Amino acid sequence: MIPPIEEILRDINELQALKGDGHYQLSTGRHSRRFLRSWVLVQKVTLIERISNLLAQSFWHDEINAVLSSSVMPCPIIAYGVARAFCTSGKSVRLVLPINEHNRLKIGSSDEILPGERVMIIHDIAVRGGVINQLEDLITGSRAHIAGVGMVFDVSGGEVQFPKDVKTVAIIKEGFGKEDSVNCTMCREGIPLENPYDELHPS
Amino acid sequence: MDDLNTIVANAKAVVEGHYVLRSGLHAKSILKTHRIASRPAFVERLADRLANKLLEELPSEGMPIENILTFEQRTGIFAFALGLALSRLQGKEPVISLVGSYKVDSGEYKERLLVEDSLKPEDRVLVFYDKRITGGNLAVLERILVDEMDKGKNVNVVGKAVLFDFSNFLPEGYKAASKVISLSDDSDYNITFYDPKSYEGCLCCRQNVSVVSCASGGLT
Repeated sequence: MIPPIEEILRDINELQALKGDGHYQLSTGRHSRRFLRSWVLVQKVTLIERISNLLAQSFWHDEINAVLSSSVMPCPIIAYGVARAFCTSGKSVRLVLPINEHNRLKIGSSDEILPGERVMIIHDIAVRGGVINQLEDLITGSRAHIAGVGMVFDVSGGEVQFPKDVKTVAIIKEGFGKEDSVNCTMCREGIPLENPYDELHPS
Repeated sequence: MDDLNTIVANAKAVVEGHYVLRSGLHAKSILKTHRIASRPAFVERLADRLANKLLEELPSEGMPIENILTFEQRTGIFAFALGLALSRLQGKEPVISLVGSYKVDSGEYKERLLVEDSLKPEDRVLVFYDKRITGGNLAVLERILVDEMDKGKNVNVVGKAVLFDFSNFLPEGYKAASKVISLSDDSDYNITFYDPKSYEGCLCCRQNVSVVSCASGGLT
């Protein structure tokens, strides 16, 4: 039987989600040799199911009341999948999706995080942890507790500062060869810089 | 129906107020599918029912469904659950093709496929949205399909489906021409829409009920 992570990697390759040996501009402003087009993952429901189940299994014995993610694809669908996996095992876990107002996340009128609840954060790729930090603020601002952070890819190389004692799980951890845009080796090598988000936001 | 009513009631999905939809219609109450989408147990039950209904009602040449075309966000969540249910029932996994709305240089918003090549030539495509009121969102999805066909992708549209259909007020001719498969209609929830430009206008406007919120944020 193929281990779940191998199956996930096989599907990611099949979808050509991982771009390698290039020079990519990340949303954080940094440059990278590799890039994950995470939005293409939503095409394959069984891949999302596998990812979600694996993340949920890591928190199987923890008390979780809600799963929170950003509203940018594929995060809501993975977060839904995680909440679904918990529900399948008999737990009552709901999904909370914040709205984006002027680039700040906030809980919309149809959602709520109750004081004292234990909320799990789901994110697709952690680079510098900006979105995860915003999601943490939403939880602590509601006087709830961060039950854990589940990520598909952690490419931060340990840079993301998670609150102490918060359990964090990443399915895949790797560096992606990130570099600051100043003193970037790939720039010096003359490799043309690509903005992979152009695919999402064509002019 | 009992199960659907239970889901809608338990999710507290029908909310009262004075809502203005993007289509311009007013409503005294609306169904916030977002509240259902946040409860996986409810979503799974709706998806299973719709998948079974599709298998019963779609012509056999439309099966298996190979692609589900829908929007991002909450509708994408329902489509994911529907995709899993269909995978189990028809033994083939449909691809989910999501459409997003993007701001272009002119400042306008345009809808386009999140993954450009998610629709393949000859795919049997189901057009899906969570609810229909005037059918604006379904029309946007159909326009995307026409654009794709213009590019030479001859996809086969096998049908249109929604979870909730609130289009009873639309002219019969229009409804017949744009048949959708749905789990319920507006008569089940007593939701009435008003055209403020019509002779009778909107009941809430006449009663001076202030507009409390815009509805779902979609064209619905």
